[in-house]
Amino acid sequence: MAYPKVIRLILRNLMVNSDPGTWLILVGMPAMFLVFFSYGYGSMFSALGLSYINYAKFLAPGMLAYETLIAGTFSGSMLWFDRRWGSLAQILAMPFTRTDYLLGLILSTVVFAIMGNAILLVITYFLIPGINFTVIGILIMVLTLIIGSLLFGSLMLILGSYIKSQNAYNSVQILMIFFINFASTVFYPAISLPKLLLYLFYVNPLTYIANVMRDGFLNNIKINDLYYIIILTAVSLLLIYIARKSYMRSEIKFE
Amino acid sequence: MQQNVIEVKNLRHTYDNKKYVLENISFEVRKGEVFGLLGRNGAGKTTTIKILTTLILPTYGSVNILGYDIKKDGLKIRSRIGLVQQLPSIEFTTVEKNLDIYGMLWGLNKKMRKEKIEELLEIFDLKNIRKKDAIDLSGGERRRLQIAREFMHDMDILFLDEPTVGLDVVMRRNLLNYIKKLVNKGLTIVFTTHMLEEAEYLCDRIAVIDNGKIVTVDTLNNLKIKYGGKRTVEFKIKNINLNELKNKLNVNNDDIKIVEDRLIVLTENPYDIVEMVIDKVKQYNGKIMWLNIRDKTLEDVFLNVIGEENGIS
Repeated sequence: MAYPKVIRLILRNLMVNSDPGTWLILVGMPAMFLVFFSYGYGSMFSALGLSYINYAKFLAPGMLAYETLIAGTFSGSMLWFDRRWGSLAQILAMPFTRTDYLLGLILSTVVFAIMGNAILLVITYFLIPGINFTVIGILIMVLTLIIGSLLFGSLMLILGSYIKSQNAYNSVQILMIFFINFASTVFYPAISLPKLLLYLFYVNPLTYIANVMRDGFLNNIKINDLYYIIILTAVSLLLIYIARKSYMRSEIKFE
Repeated sequence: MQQNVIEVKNLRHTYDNKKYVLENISFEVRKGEVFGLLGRNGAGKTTTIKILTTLILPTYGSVNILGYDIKKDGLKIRSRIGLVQQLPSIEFTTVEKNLDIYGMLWGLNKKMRKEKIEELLEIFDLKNIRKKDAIDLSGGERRRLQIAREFMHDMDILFLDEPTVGLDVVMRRNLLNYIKKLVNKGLTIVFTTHMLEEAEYLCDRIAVIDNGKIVTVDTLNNLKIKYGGKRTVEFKIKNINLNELKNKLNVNNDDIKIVEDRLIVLTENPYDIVEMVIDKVKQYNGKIMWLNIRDKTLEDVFLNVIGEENGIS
Protein backbone atom coordinates (compact mmCIF):
# COMPACT_ATOMS: atom_id res chain seq x y z
CA MET A 1 0.00 0.00 0.00
CA ALA A 2 1.26 3.47 -0.86
CA TYR A 3 2.04 5.99 1.89
CA PRO A 4 -0.40 8.90 2.38
CA LYS A 5 0.26 11.76 -0.02
CA VAL A 6 1.81 14.22 2.42
CA ILE A 7 4.15 11.49 3.74
CA ARG A 8 5.26 10.80 0.15
CA LEU A 9 6.02 14.50 -0.30
CA ILE A 10 7.95 14.62 2.98
CA LEU A 11 9.99 11.57 1.93
CA ARG A 12 10.72 13.22 -1.38
CA ASN A 13 11.83 16.43 0.33
CA LEU A 14 14.11 14.51 2.67
CA MET A 15 15.60 12.42 -0.16
CA VAL A 16 16.25 15.42 -2.37
CA ASN A 17 17.51 17.80 0.31
CA SER A 18 19.55 15.53 2.57
CA ASP A 19 22.96 16.48 1.23
CA PRO A 20 26.03 17.10 3.44
CA GLY A 21 25.58 20.88 3.07
CA THR A 22 22.10 20.66 4.58
CA TRP A 23 23.38 18.76 7.61
CA LEU A 24 26.32 21.08 8.01
CA ILE A 25 23.98 24.04 8.33
CA LEU A 26 21.37 22.17 10.33
CA VAL A 27 23.64 20.53 12.90
CA GLY A 28 27.14 21.83 12.26
CA MET A 29 26.36 25.49 12.86
CA PRO A 30 24.50 25.14 16.19
CA ALA A 31 27.03 22.51 17.29
CA MET A 32 29.89 24.90 16.55
CA PHE A 33 28.15 27.72 18.43
CA LEU A 34 27.61 25.35 21.33
CA VAL A 35 31.18 24.07 21.51
CA PHE A 36 33.02 27.33 20.76
CA PHE A 37 30.79 29.60 22.81
CA SER A 38 30.59 27.19 25.77
CA TYR A 39 34.37 26.94 26.01
CA GLY A 40 35.08 30.44 24.74
CA TYR A 41 32.78 32.28 27.09
CA GLY A 42 33.49 29.56 29.64
CA SER A 43 37.11 30.71 29.85
CA MET A 44 35.83 34.23 30.49
CA PHE A 45 33.53 32.94 33.22
CA SER A 46 36.41 30.86 34.70
CA ALA A 47 38.31 34.12 35.14
CA LEU A 48 35.35 35.26 37.25
CA GLY A 49 35.44 32.00 39.17
CA LEU A 50 32.42 30.41 37.37
CA SER A 51 32.38 27.05 35.58
CA TYR A 52 31.82 26.91 31.79
CA ILE A 53 29.10 24.34 32.54
CA ASN A 54 26.64 26.99 33.72
CA TYR A 55 26.81 28.86 30.44
CA ALA A 56 26.77 25.61 28.44
CA LYS A 57 23.60 24.62 30.28
CA PHE A 58 22.07 27.95 29.32
CA LEU A 59 23.28 27.86 25.73
CA ALA A 60 22.44 24.22 24.84
CA PRO A 61 18.64 24.61 24.96
CA GLY A 62 19.09 27.94 23.16
CA MET A 63 20.82 26.07 20.35
CA LEU A 64 17.98 23.51 20.27
CA ALA A 65 15.60 26.45 19.80
CA TYR A 66 17.88 28.01 17.19
CA GLU A 67 17.71 24.70 15.31
CA THR A 68 13.95 25.23 14.78
CA LEU A 69 14.72 28.53 13.06
CA ILE A 70 17.39 26.95 10.86
CA ALA A 71 15.10 24.02 9.94
CA GLY A 72 12.32 26.53 9.26
CA THR A 73 14.42 28.30 6.64
CA PHE A 74 14.52 25.05 4.66
CA SER A 75 10.83 25.37 3.73
CA GLY A 76 11.38 28.66 1.89
CA SER A 77 14.57 27.37 0.28
CA MET A 78 12.87 24.16 -0.85
CA LEU A 79 10.04 26.18 -2.39
CA TRP A 80 12.54 28.33 -4.27
CA PHE A 81 14.54 25.34 -5.41
CA ASP A 82 11.44 23.50 -6.63
CA ARG A 83 10.37 26.57 -8.57
CA ARG A 84 13.79 27.16 -10.05
CA TRP A 85 14.24 23.56 -11.23
CA GLY A 86 10.69 22.87 -12.45
CA SER A 87 9.85 20.35 -9.73
CA LEU A 88 7.01 22.48 -8.37
CA ALA A 89 5.02 22.47 -11.60
CA GLN A 90 5.82 18.78 -12.04
CA ILE A 91 4.51 17.90 -8.56
CA LEU A 92 1.43 20.06 -9.02
CA ALA A 93 0.64 18.17 -12.24
CA MET A 94 0.48 14.99 -10.12
CA PRO A 95 -2.42 14.02 -7.85
CA PHE A 96 -1.36 16.41 -5.08
CA THR A 97 -3.15 19.58 -4.02
CA ARG A 98 -1.36 22.87 -3.36
CA THR A 99 -2.11 22.34 0.33
CA ASP A 100 -0.52 18.86 0.23
CA TYR A 101 2.61 20.40 -1.27
CA LEU A 102 2.81 23.21 1.31
CA LEU A 103 2.13 20.85 4.20
CA GLY A 104 4.83 18.58 2.80
CA LEU A 105 7.30 21.47 2.94
CA ILE A 106 6.33 22.63 6.43
CA LEU A 107 6.27 19.12 7.89
CA SER A 108 9.63 18.35 6.26
CA THR A 109 11.07 21.22 8.29
CA VAL A 110 9.65 19.59 11.42
CA VAL A 111 11.36 16.31 10.51
CA PHE A 112 14.63 18.15 9.81
CA ALA A 113 14.30 19.93 13.18
CA ILE A 114 13.66 16.67 15.04
CA MET A 115 16.63 14.92 13.41
CA GLY A 116 18.90 17.93 13.94
CA ASN A 117 17.84 18.29 17.55
CA ALA A 118 18.41 14.59 18.23
CA ILE A 119 22.01 14.87 17.02
CA LEU A 120 22.52 18.09 18.96
CA LEU A 121 21.19 16.47 22.13
CA VAL A 122 23.77 13.69 21.82
CA ILE A 123 26.55 16.30 21.46
CA THR A 124 25.12 18.17 24.45
CA TYR A 125 25.07 15.00 26.53
CA PHE A 126 28.82 14.59 26.08
CA LEU A 127 29.58 18.30 26.42
CA ILE A 128 27.75 18.87 29.68
CA PRO A 129 28.56 16.22 32.26
CA GLY A 130 25.88 14.99 34.62
CA ILE A 131 22.89 16.34 32.74
CA ASN A 132 19.63 14.53 33.47
CA PHE A 133 16.55 14.66 31.30
CA THR A 134 13.04 13.91 32.52
CA VAL A 135 10.23 12.46 30.43
CA ILE A 136 8.07 15.55 30.90
CA GLY A 137 11.05 17.77 30.07
CA ILE A 138 11.73 15.85 26.84
CA LEU A 139 8.03 15.97 25.89
CA ILE A 140 7.96 19.75 26.39
CA MET A 141 11.14 20.09 24.31
CA VAL A 142 9.77 17.93 21.46
CA LEU A 143 6.48 19.82 21.47
CA THR A 144 8.30 23.15 21.42
CA LEU A 145 10.57 22.14 18.58
CA ILE A 146 7.59 20.93 16.52
CA ILE A 147 5.69 24.17 17.10
CA GLY A 148 8.84 26.24 16.52
CA SER A 149 9.68 24.61 13.22
CA LEU A 150 6.05 24.89 12.06
CA LEU A 151 6.15 28.57 12.96
CA PHE A 152 9.43 29.38 11.23
CA GLY A 153 8.69 27.02 8.33
CA SER A 154 5.47 28.94 7.62
CA LEU A 155 7.16 32.31 8.10
CA MET A 156 9.84 31.44 5.55
CA LEU A 157 7.20 30.14 3.12
CA ILE A 158 5.44 33.52 3.29
CA LEU A 159 8.77 35.16 2.55
CA GLY A 160 9.48 32.69 -0.30
CA SER A 161 6.06 33.33 -1.81
CA TYR A 162 6.44 37.10 -2.03
CA ILE A 163 10.10 37.66 -2.88
CA LYS A 164 10.63 37.41 -6.61
CA SER A 165 14.34 36.68 -6.94
CA GLN A 166 16.35 33.94 -5.34
CA ASN A 167 19.24 36.26 -4.46
CA ALA A 168 16.88 38.64 -2.71
CA TYR A 169 15.29 35.72 -0.89
CA ASN A 170 18.68 34.45 0.31
CA SER A 171 19.73 37.91 1.51
CA VAL A 172 16.47 38.55 3.39
CA GLN A 173 16.61 35.06 4.88
CA ILE A 174 20.16 35.53 6.21
CA LEU A 175 19.21 38.93 7.65
CA MET A 176 16.16 37.44 9.33
CA ILE A 177 18.15 34.54 10.79
CA PHE A 178 20.64 36.98 12.34
CA PHE A 179 17.96 39.32 13.60
CA ILE A 180 15.64 36.64 15.05
CA ASN A 181 18.58 34.76 16.53
CA PHE A 182 20.39 37.63 18.22
CA ALA A 183 17.26 39.51 19.34
CA SER A 184 16.21 36.50 21.41
CA THR A 185 17.19 34.67 24.55
CA VAL A 186 19.08 32.00 22.60
CA PHE A 187 22.55 33.26 23.61
CA TYR A 188 21.85 35.48 26.60
CA PRO A 189 19.02 36.21 29.05
CA ALA A 190 16.76 39.20 28.46
CA ILE A 191 17.80 41.10 31.56
CA SER A 192 19.23 44.58 31.97
CA LEU A 193 18.54 45.42 28.33
CA PRO A 194 17.62 48.86 27.00
CA LYS A 195 13.82 49.12 26.66
CA LEU A 196 13.76 49.05 22.86
CA LEU A 197 15.85 45.88 22.74
CA LEU A 198 13.69 44.37 25.44
CA TYR A 199 10.57 44.96 23.34
CA LEU A 200 12.27 43.36 20.36
CA PHE A 201 13.17 40.35 22.47
CA TYR A 202 9.59 39.96 23.68
CA VAL A 203 7.90 40.18 20.28
CA ASN A 204 10.33 37.62 18.91
CA PRO A 205 8.82 34.09 18.99
CA LEU A 206 12.30 32.58 19.27
CA THR A 207 12.59 34.11 22.76
CA TYR A 208 9.58 32.07 23.94
CA ILE A 209 10.72 28.95 22.09
CA ALA A 210 14.16 29.27 23.74
CA ASN A 211 12.66 29.94 27.19
CA VAL A 212 10.30 26.96 27.09
CA MET A 213 13.03 24.75 25.63
CA ARG A 214 15.34 25.85 28.44
CA ASP A 215 12.76 25.07 31.10
CA GLY A 216 12.21 21.61 29.60
CA PHE A 217 15.96 21.04 29.34
CA LEU A 218 16.67 22.08 32.92
CA ASN A 219 13.50 20.41 34.21
CA ASN A 220 12.20 23.70 35.48
CA ILE A 221 8.74 23.72 33.90
CA LYS A 222 6.40 26.53 34.94
CA ILE A 223 2.77 27.36 34.23
CA ASN A 224 3.95 30.21 31.97
CA ASP A 225 5.50 27.63 29.66
CA LEU A 226 2.07 26.19 29.01
CA TYR A 227 0.71 29.63 28.10
CA TYR A 228 3.67 30.23 25.80
CA ILE A 229 3.06 26.88 24.08
CA ILE A 230 -0.60 27.76 23.52
CA ILE A 231 0.29 31.21 22.11
CA LEU A 232 3.06 29.78 19.92
CA THR A 233 0.65 27.13 18.59
CA ALA A 234 -1.93 29.80 17.74
CA VAL A 235 0.71 31.94 15.99
CA SER A 236 1.95 28.87 14.06
CA LEU A 237 -1.55 28.00 12.84
CA LEU A 238 -2.12 31.61 11.80
CA LEU A 239 1.19 31.65 9.91
CA ILE A 240 0.37 28.32 8.19
CA TYR A 241 -2.91 29.88 7.04
CA ILE A 242 -1.16 33.05 5.82
CA ALA A 243 1.55 30.95 4.11
CA ARG A 244 -1.10 29.05 2.14
CA LYS A 245 -2.87 32.29 1.16
CA SER A 246 0.40 33.96 0.18
CA TYR A 247 1.47 31.00 -1.88
CA MET A 248 -1.86 30.85 -3.72
CA ARG A 249 -1.70 34.58 -4.49
CA SER A 250 1.84 34.38 -5.78
CA GLU A 251 1.47 31.16 -7.74
CA ILE A 252 0.34 32.46 -11.12
CA LYS A 253 3.16 34.98 -11.26
CA PHE A 254 5.79 32.33 -10.83
CA GLU A 255 4.50 29.49 -13.03
CA MET B 1 -17.31 6.85 -33.24
CA GLN B 2 -14.35 7.25 -30.87
CA GLN B 3 -15.00 8.72 -27.47
CA ASN B 4 -13.67 12.23 -26.73
CA VAL B 5 -11.28 12.28 -23.79
CA ILE B 6 -10.68 16.03 -23.96
CA GLU B 7 -13.32 18.62 -24.77
CA VAL B 8 -12.33 22.27 -24.83
CA LYS B 9 -15.03 24.88 -25.41
CA ASN B 10 -14.56 28.63 -25.88
CA LEU B 11 -11.42 28.72 -23.79
CA ARG B 12 -10.01 32.18 -23.06
CA HIS B 13 -7.12 33.02 -20.82
CA THR B 14 -5.35 36.13 -19.63
CA TYR B 15 -2.48 36.41 -17.16
CA ASP B 16 -2.80 40.15 -16.55
CA ASN B 17 -6.46 40.98 -17.27
CA LYS B 18 -5.30 43.05 -20.23
CA LYS B 19 -4.24 40.80 -23.09
CA TYR B 20 -5.80 37.43 -23.82
CA VAL B 21 -3.15 34.83 -24.62
CA LEU B 22 -5.87 32.35 -25.62
CA GLU B 23 -8.92 33.52 -27.55
CA ASN B 24 -11.99 31.28 -27.80
CA ILE B 25 -10.21 28.02 -28.32
CA SER B 26 -12.37 24.95 -28.95
CA PHE B 27 -11.30 21.43 -29.89
CA GLU B 28 -11.74 17.79 -28.95
CA VAL B 29 -9.23 15.00 -28.57
CA ARG B 30 -10.33 11.42 -29.18
CA LYS B 31 -9.29 8.41 -27.17
CA GLY B 32 -6.11 6.79 -28.44
CA GLU B 33 -5.09 9.52 -30.86
CA VAL B 34 -1.99 11.67 -31.04
CA PHE B 35 -3.22 15.23 -31.14
CA GLY B 36 -0.68 17.85 -32.14
CA LEU B 37 -0.73 21.49 -31.13
CA LEU B 38 1.39 23.20 -33.70
CA GLY B 39 2.39 26.83 -33.54
CA ARG B 40 5.14 29.38 -33.46
CA ASN B 41 6.90 30.38 -30.25
CA GLY B 42 4.49 32.25 -28.00
CA ALA B 43 1.41 31.09 -29.92
CA GLY B 44 -0.30 29.80 -26.77
CA LYS B 45 0.64 26.10 -26.83
CA THR B 46 2.18 25.95 -23.37
CA THR B 47 -0.64 27.95 -21.77
CA THR B 48 -3.11 25.49 -23.31
CA ILE B 49 -1.12 22.58 -21.86
CA LYS B 50 -0.96 24.25 -18.42
CA ILE B 51 -4.74 24.62 -18.43
CA LEU B 52 -5.34 21.06 -19.65
CA THR B 53 -3.05 19.70 -16.92
CA THR B 54 -4.86 21.86 -14.31
CA LEU B 55 -1.71 23.82 -13.45
CA ILE B 56 -3.66 27.01 -14.08
CA LEU B 57 -7.38 27.63 -14.31
CA PRO B 58 -8.78 29.28 -17.43
CA THR B 59 -10.23 32.77 -17.24
CA TYR B 60 -13.28 31.72 -19.29
CA GLY B 61 -14.57 28.61 -21.03
CA SER B 62 -15.01 24.98 -20.15
CA VAL B 63 -12.56 22.10 -20.27
CA ASN B 64 -13.58 18.52 -19.74
CA ILE B 65 -10.93 15.84 -19.37
CA LEU B 66 -11.86 12.16 -19.14
CA GLY B 67 -15.38 13.30 -18.23
CA TYR B 68 -14.18 15.58 -15.41
CA ASP B 69 -14.44 19.36 -15.22
CA ILE B 70 -11.00 20.91 -14.68
CA LYS B 71 -12.41 23.55 -12.35
CA LYS B 72 -13.92 20.99 -9.96
CA ASP B 73 -12.05 17.74 -10.41
CA GLY B 74 -8.41 18.70 -10.81
CA LEU B 75 -7.20 15.96 -8.49
CA LYS B 76 -9.12 13.21 -10.31
CA ILE B 77 -7.79 14.46 -13.64
CA ARG B 78 -4.21 14.66 -12.42
CA SER B 79 -4.32 11.09 -11.17
CA ARG B 80 -4.88 9.92 -14.76
CA ILE B 81 -2.57 12.14 -16.77
CA GLY B 82 1.14 12.62 -17.28
CA LEU B 83 3.09 15.74 -18.22
CA VAL B 84 6.50 16.32 -19.70
CA GLN B 85 7.08 20.04 -19.34
CA GLN B 86 8.88 22.19 -21.84
CA LEU B 87 11.24 23.49 -19.16
CA PRO B 88 13.79 21.12 -17.66
CA SER B 89 12.71 19.56 -14.40
CA ILE B 90 14.96 17.31 -12.37
CA GLU B 91 15.71 16.42 -8.79
CA PHE B 92 19.27 16.99 -7.60
CA THR B 93 20.17 13.38 -7.04
CA THR B 94 21.26 10.43 -9.21
CA VAL B 95 19.46 9.34 -12.37
CA GLU B 96 18.24 6.16 -10.68
CA LYS B 97 17.07 8.01 -7.58
CA ASN B 98 15.21 10.54 -9.75
CA LEU B 99 13.19 7.70 -11.24
CA ASP B 100 12.71 6.10 -7.83
CA ILE B 101 11.47 9.32 -6.19
CA TYR B 102 9.04 9.88 -9.02
CA GLY B 103 7.69 6.34 -8.73
CA MET B 104 7.37 6.79 -4.97
CA LEU B 105 5.44 10.04 -5.44
CA TRP B 106 3.06 8.19 -7.73
CA GLY B 107 2.52 5.58 -5.02
CA LEU B 108 4.33 2.65 -6.65
CA ASN B 109 5.69 0.04 -4.26
CA LYS B 110 9.41 -0.77 -4.12
CA LYS B 111 9.19 -3.89 -6.32
CA MET B 112 7.19 -2.14 -9.03
CA ARG B 113 9.58 0.81 -8.96
CA LYS B 114 12.60 -1.44 -9.33
CA GLU B 115 11.16 -3.22 -12.37
CA LYS B 116 10.02 -0.02 -14.02
CA ILE B 117 13.37 1.70 -13.40
CA GLU B 118 15.29 -1.12 -15.14
CA GLU B 119 12.90 -1.01 -18.10
CA LEU B 120 13.13 2.77 -18.50
CA LEU B 121 16.91 2.92 -18.05
CA GLU B 122 17.14 0.51 -20.99
CA ILE B 123 14.59 2.23 -23.23
CA PHE B 124 15.96 5.71 -22.70
CA ASP B 125 19.61 4.65 -22.85
CA LEU B 126 20.33 5.77 -19.29
CA LYS B 127 21.87 2.54 -17.99
CA ASN B 128 25.48 3.73 -18.17
CA ILE B 129 24.70 6.93 -16.29
CA ARG B 130 22.33 5.51 -13.71
CA LYS B 131 24.59 6.46 -10.78
CA LYS B 132 25.47 9.87 -12.17
CA ASP B 133 24.10 12.97 -10.45
CA ALA B 134 21.44 14.68 -12.54
CA ILE B 135 23.27 18.00 -12.13
CA ASP B 136 26.27 16.54 -14.01
CA LEU B 137 24.24 15.32 -17.00
CA SER B 138 24.32 16.96 -20.41
CA GLY B 139 21.22 18.80 -21.61
CA GLY B 140 20.13 15.84 -23.76
CA GLU B 141 20.68 13.35 -20.95
CA ARG B 142 18.62 15.45 -18.56
CA ARG B 143 15.86 15.64 -21.12
CA ARG B 144 15.91 11.86 -21.53
CA LEU B 145 15.69 11.45 -17.78
CA GLN B 146 12.81 13.91 -17.58
CA ILE B 147 10.87 12.02 -20.24
CA ALA B 148 11.73 8.57 -18.86
CA ARG B 149 10.55 9.63 -15.41
CA GLU B 150 7.07 10.34 -16.72
CA PHE B 151 6.66 6.73 -17.81
CA MET B 152 7.14 5.49 -14.25
CA HIS B 153 3.36 5.56 -13.85
CA ASP B 154 0.35 4.47 -15.89
CA MET B 155 -1.90 7.11 -17.38
CA ASP B 156 -4.73 7.67 -19.84
CA ILE B 157 -3.47 10.91 -21.38
CA LEU B 158 0.10 12.11 -21.73
CA PHE B 159 0.83 15.78 -22.37
CA LEU B 160 4.16 16.38 -24.05
CA ASP B 161 5.18 20.01 -24.26
CA GLU B 162 7.95 20.17 -26.85
CA PRO B 163 9.50 16.98 -25.45
CA THR B 164 12.25 16.48 -27.99
CA VAL B 165 14.03 19.81 -27.51
CA GLY B 166 17.68 18.99 -26.80
CA LEU B 167 17.51 15.36 -27.96
CA ASP B 168 19.78 14.02 -30.70
CA VAL B 169 18.28 12.53 -33.87
CA VAL B 170 18.54 8.90 -32.73
CA MET B 171 17.02 9.54 -29.32
CA ARG B 172 14.33 11.70 -30.85
CA ARG B 173 13.31 8.91 -33.21
CA ASN B 174 13.47 6.36 -30.35
CA LEU B 175 11.16 8.51 -28.26
CA LEU B 176 8.69 9.02 -31.09
CA ASN B 177 8.65 5.27 -31.76
CA TYR B 178 8.15 4.52 -28.07
CA ILE B 179 5.24 6.96 -28.01
CA LYS B 180 3.75 5.27 -31.08
CA LYS B 181 3.98 1.92 -29.29
CA LEU B 182 2.13 3.31 -26.27
CA VAL B 183 -0.53 4.86 -28.49
CA ASN B 184 -1.14 1.41 -30.00
CA LYS B 185 -1.86 0.23 -26.46
CA GLY B 186 -4.56 2.93 -26.06
CA LEU B 187 -2.70 5.93 -24.63
CA THR B 188 -3.88 9.36 -25.80
CA ILE B 189 -1.19 11.94 -26.46
CA VAL B 190 -1.39 15.70 -26.67
CA PHE B 191 1.81 16.88 -28.21
CA THR B 192 3.04 20.42 -28.74
CA THR B 193 5.90 21.15 -31.06
CA HIS B 194 7.22 23.64 -33.54
CA MET B 195 9.18 20.84 -35.23
CA LEU B 196 6.99 20.04 -38.18
CA GLU B 197 8.58 16.74 -39.15
CA GLU B 198 7.82 15.38 -35.67
CA ALA B 199 4.18 16.36 -35.88
CA GLU B 200 4.02 14.82 -39.34
CA TYR B 201 5.57 11.57 -38.09
CA LEU B 202 3.44 11.25 -34.98
CA CYS B 203 0.15 13.13 -35.05
CA ASP B 204 -3.23 11.80 -36.17
CA ARG B 205 -4.80 15.22 -36.02
CA ILE B 206 -3.23 18.62 -35.79
CA ALA B 207 -4.47 21.96 -34.47
CA VAL B 208 -2.57 24.94 -35.80
CA ILE B 209 -2.52 27.65 -33.14
CA ASP B 210 -1.46 31.22 -33.78
CA ASN B 211 -1.76 34.34 -31.64
CA GLY B 212 -3.86 32.44 -29.12
CA LYS B 213 -6.40 31.24 -31.68
CA ILE B 214 -6.90 27.83 -33.24
CA VAL B 215 -6.64 28.50 -36.95
CA THR B 216 -7.53 25.00 -38.11
CA VAL B 217 -7.91 21.45 -36.78
CA ASP B 218 -7.86 18.40 -39.02
CA THR B 219 -6.03 15.25 -40.03
CA LEU B 220 -2.70 15.74 -41.75
CA ASN B 221 -4.09 14.56 -45.10
CA ASN B 222 -7.05 16.91 -44.96
CA LEU B 223 -4.80 19.80 -43.99
CA LYS B 224 -2.56 19.03 -46.94
CA ILE B 225 -5.55 18.99 -49.27
CA LYS B 226 -6.95 22.21 -47.79
CA TYR B 227 -3.77 24.19 -47.28
CA GLY B 228 -0.93 22.33 -48.95
CA GLY B 229 -1.02 24.35 -52.17
CA LYS B 230 0.28 22.89 -55.43
CA ARG B 231 2.58 19.89 -55.60
CA THR B 232 5.94 19.99 -57.32
CA VAL B 233 6.89 17.65 -60.17
CA GLU B 234 10.53 17.66 -61.29
CA PHE B 235 11.96 16.10 -64.47
CA LYS B 236 15.49 15.50 -65.70
CA ILE B 237 15.29 14.98 -69.46
CA LYS B 238 17.96 14.16 -72.08
CA ASN B 239 18.13 14.76 -75.86
CA ILE B 240 15.56 17.55 -75.90
CA ASN B 241 15.63 21.33 -75.55
CA LEU B 242 13.88 22.10 -72.28
CA ASN B 243 12.77 25.57 -73.40
CA GLU B 244 11.07 24.07 -76.47
CA LEU B 245 9.42 21.41 -74.37
CA LYS B 246 8.26 24.03 -71.87
CA ASN B 247 6.49 25.95 -74.64
CA LYS B 248 4.80 22.84 -75.95
CA LEU B 249 3.27 21.84 -72.59
CA ASN B 250 -0.20 23.08 -71.80
CA VAL B 251 0.75 24.60 -68.41
CA ASN B 252 0.30 28.10 -67.02
CA ASN B 253 3.59 29.97 -67.48
CA ASP B 254 3.76 30.87 -63.78
CA ASP B 255 3.67 27.19 -62.82
CA ILE B 256 6.56 25.95 -64.97
CA LYS B 257 10.25 26.80 -64.83
CA ILE B 258 13.65 25.47 -65.74
CA VAL B 259 16.24 25.27 -63.00
CA GLU B 260 19.69 24.16 -64.26
CA ASP B 261 18.99 20.90 -66.12
CA ARG B 262 15.59 20.27 -64.54
CA LEU B 263 12.07 21.09 -65.58
CA ILE B 264 9.89 21.97 -62.58
CA VAL B 265 6.08 22.08 -62.71
CA LEU B 266 3.70 23.17 -59.93
CA THR B 267 0.33 21.46 -60.21
CA GLU B 268 -2.76 20.25 -58.41
CA ASN B 269 -2.72 17.06 -60.57
CA PRO B 270 0.82 15.71 -60.73
CA TYR B 271 -0.12 12.45 -62.49
CA ASP B 272 -1.75 14.30 -65.43
CA ILE B 273 1.40 16.39 -65.79
CA VAL B 274 3.61 13.29 -65.73
CA GLU B 275 1.48 11.71 -68.47
CA MET B 276 1.59 14.87 -70.58
CA VAL B 277 5.38 15.23 -70.28
CA ILE B 278 5.97 11.54 -71.10
CA ASP B 279 3.87 11.90 -74.29
CA LYS B 280 5.73 15.03 -75.43
CA VAL B 281 9.16 13.59 -74.62
CA LYS B 282 8.32 10.46 -76.63
CA GLN B 283 7.04 12.58 -79.52
CA TYR B 284 10.35 14.50 -79.72
CA ASN B 285 12.56 11.44 -79.11
CA GLY B 286 13.78 12.61 -75.72
CA LYS B 287 14.49 10.47 -72.68
CA ILE B 288 13.32 11.01 -69.12
CA MET B 289 16.30 10.25 -66.88
CA TRP B 290 14.62 10.97 -63.56
CA LEU B 291 11.40 12.35 -62.15
CA ASN B 292 10.22 13.26 -58.69
CA ILE B 293 6.79 14.17 -57.34
CA ARG B 294 7.25 16.02 -54.09
CA ASP B 295 4.42 15.47 -51.66
CA LYS B 296 2.87 18.39 -49.80
CA THR B 297 4.54 18.68 -46.45
CA LEU B 298 3.23 19.91 -43.14
CA GLU B 299 5.65 22.78 -43.56
CA ASP B 300 3.75 23.86 -46.68
CA VAL B 301 0.49 23.58 -44.75
CA PHE B 302 1.85 25.47 -41.76
CA LEU B 303 3.30 28.29 -43.80
CA ASN B 304 0.10 28.61 -45.81
CA VAL B 305 -2.15 28.59 -42.73
CA ILE B 306 -0.01 30.99 -40.72
CA GLY B 307 0.55 33.12 -43.83
CA GLU B 308 -3.19 33.40 -44.49
CA GLU B 309 -3.85 34.24 -40.86
CA ASN B 310 -1.24 36.98 -40.84
CA GLY B 311 -1.92 38.26 -44.35
CA ILE B 312 1.42 36.96 -45.66
CA SER B 313 1.50 35.27 -49.06
